[in-house]
Amino acid sequence: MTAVAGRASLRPRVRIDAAVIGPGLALAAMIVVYSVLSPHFLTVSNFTNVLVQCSPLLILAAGQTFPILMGGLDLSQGSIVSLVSVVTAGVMLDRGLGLAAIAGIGSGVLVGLANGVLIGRFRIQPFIVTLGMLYMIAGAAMVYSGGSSLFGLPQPDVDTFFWFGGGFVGPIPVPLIIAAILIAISHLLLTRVPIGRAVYAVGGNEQVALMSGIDVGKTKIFIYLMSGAFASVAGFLLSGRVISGQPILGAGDLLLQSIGAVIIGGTSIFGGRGGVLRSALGVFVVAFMVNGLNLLAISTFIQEIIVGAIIILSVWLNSLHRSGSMKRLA
Amino acid sequence: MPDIDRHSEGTELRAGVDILSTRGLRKTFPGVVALDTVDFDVRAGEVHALLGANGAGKSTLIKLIAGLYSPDAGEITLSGRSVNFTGAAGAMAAGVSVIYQDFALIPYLSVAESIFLGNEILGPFGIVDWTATHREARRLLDLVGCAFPTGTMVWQLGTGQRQLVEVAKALRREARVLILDEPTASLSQGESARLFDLIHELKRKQVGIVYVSHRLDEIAGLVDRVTVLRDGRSMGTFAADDIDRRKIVSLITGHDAFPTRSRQSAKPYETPLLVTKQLSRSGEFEDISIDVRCGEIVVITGLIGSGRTELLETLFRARRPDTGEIFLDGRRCDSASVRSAIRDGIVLIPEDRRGNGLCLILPMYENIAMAIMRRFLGAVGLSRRSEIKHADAMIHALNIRPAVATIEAGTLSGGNQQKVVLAKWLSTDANVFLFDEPTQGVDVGAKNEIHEIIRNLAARGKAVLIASSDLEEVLTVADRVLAMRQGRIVAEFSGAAVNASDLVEAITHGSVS
Repeated sequence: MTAVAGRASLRPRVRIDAAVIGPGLALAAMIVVYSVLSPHFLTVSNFTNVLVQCSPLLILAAGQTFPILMGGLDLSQGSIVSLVSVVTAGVMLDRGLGLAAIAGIGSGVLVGLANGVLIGRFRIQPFIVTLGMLYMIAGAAMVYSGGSSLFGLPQPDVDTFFWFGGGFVGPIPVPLIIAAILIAISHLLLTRVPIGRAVYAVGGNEQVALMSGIDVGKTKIFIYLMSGAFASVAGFLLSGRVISGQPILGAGDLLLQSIGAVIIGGTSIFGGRGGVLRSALGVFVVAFMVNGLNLLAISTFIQEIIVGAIIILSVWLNSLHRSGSMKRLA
Repeated sequence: MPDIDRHSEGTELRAGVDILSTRGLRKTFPGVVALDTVDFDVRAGEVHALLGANGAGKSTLIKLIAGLYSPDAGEITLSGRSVNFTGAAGAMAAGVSVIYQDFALIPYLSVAESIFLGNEILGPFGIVDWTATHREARRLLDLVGCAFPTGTMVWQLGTGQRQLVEVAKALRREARVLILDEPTASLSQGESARLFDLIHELKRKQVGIVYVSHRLDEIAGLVDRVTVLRDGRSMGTFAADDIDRRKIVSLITGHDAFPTRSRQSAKPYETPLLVTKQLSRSGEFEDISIDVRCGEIVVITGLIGSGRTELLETLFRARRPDTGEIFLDGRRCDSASVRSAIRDGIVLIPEDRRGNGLCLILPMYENIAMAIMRRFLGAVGLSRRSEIKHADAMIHALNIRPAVATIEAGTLSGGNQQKVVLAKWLSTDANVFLFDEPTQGVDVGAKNEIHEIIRNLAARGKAVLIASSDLEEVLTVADRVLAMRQGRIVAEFSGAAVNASDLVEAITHGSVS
């Protein structure tokens, strides 16, 4: 025991989070390898392209980090994207972008709030609530749009709308700026604000959090509100990029990509460990991996196999690292 | 009596012969010697009581015999042959069956499935033979005196019935040694009587029975020999006829005479800080009227299931009382939430450290800061640095090892984990401290330190209420002792009037002789 104490106290107070080493090295290695193999990879236009494309996913994954940190999931993110898309476009047709943004994003936030209340106050399993919501909201988006895409958005609103999803400020893409701001906000919330710390406590051991005087119900509402709000912004940006309302915009594998990125980043699916910066790293790993494979003309089918393998591999590496560190200290 | 003869078929069991022996058995855990060179014998056809206080090493000894732990040193022999079980299955196959106190049956299996779980009766092609399974289960249930059908689901049964299913499960194999750990803790009078009949019957069949119990009254007339453990050592084995209750109690507690308590209790107390009036929760505790004053340490003691934990959790408002009132500093506490209790200055250091006390995967400093997070709120949100600084101060004050605020709480030893829970609550400005088994699973050194912390709290004018079943602890820290039995306070001792035998008498019989 004394030997352990001695070794432990030699360690620096602030050290690099061991969980990010794996994905961090993977990302670095990938960039090196792709740069060598493809002349088109290490270019400003390619990087800009990748970052624009992955911005909505960065926002979704940042939001998804909250429920995963508490040991839950938000399966309704994809449906929220679809709902926000059609509501925004629908309102914009008559009343312009301002109201459309409020109504569209507001509708997604309300779904998040409903998730939170059902989970936090009515104490229903997050998986069940958000699975149900996945169906309900996907259906609602279909009902609202009559099952078809909403085109023909009015000028000049449509240009501003596109600016959010695909515009630039100088050389920097707008969606990337928005993603960066949202990631910064969520990082601060999780590390520096009591309710953010409460997320970790609830994920670490809900009973302990309760017995420590933390309002667990309120924390869960906050968690799903954040996830819903972030999904709404992502839905807004994605719709802007396609300048239309699409009732199946979030119906693809957007949701699974967001969960996958959080896991690849090293946030524990059981809750209590992780953070949004890790999720951002996870998104970059997937985005650059796919981009590089595209440049090398490797089929999307093989890409899927690789992404799936990375998810399993990253969790396995994380568990190895953890059991190793437990052994050292035990 | 139903057919029990199958149990002795094919084995030679003669009365008086040692079936199971341990020699020089030793087992250590990090920081604790749980069992130190223990010799222990079980003869065919005897009931051998294994007694000792909490943490004396009874469970460790049982788990060594059952193959759940492997000894650091020493030998276990079964029918004269040295054995070295590497798992529970091996011990079971050799005829050692154990019924644990904290038994666990899977709620969604039927009784028959539960009894033969992991040991299914197979027909041709390795397919489970359900007819035979239910037939055997029926025979075993009749044996233990249970009338419910073998297809009953476990969740439909009460605790006492589940305990009897455990007994049936232990008997599914031909048991040569049967170990019962506090078997009557959750049984009604009738069920206990049935169990004792069964024990007599098994004894007649030359099964060696080890009976672990706190209830001294129970063992009289049932057991042949008694072995007392204290602090991991055997205090000797005695024929039941040659030893009286007083002697047993003194062996268990280690106090020959009534202990002289180290702290003076003639302090003038102020008005009561925490008062309850006729507090009841059905099935848990009844009619509890107690008061705890500033600077006073009151200890509630009782056996497992006496309602102590439930009472403390009710005072902490994690549970709502059915009837009765709680007053704090003369003011009635109405709101029923843990948050309001903490706001009012009442805190609970829970018994289940891992389940309720600590987030094992979070670093120490976050656990310590959990209840007082707002205090570290600066201009730019929470300051991790000041959280760590605060944790360092607590680590130093409570002598937590290793003294590194950033390591995960789960990597600490039991005693140090408990100190982290203490640090969390000492950080608040609470006035009432509720402790539930404050030193359970904690080594002796940390135990003394924790007792010192508790005394300091009282010296600083805090009101302290402790639930403890550790006699030594009760005798060393309490200003006043309340004996609890089956949900009621049955006796109160204050100051110099506390002694071990009266306490044991009160918590087991409910009266003082």
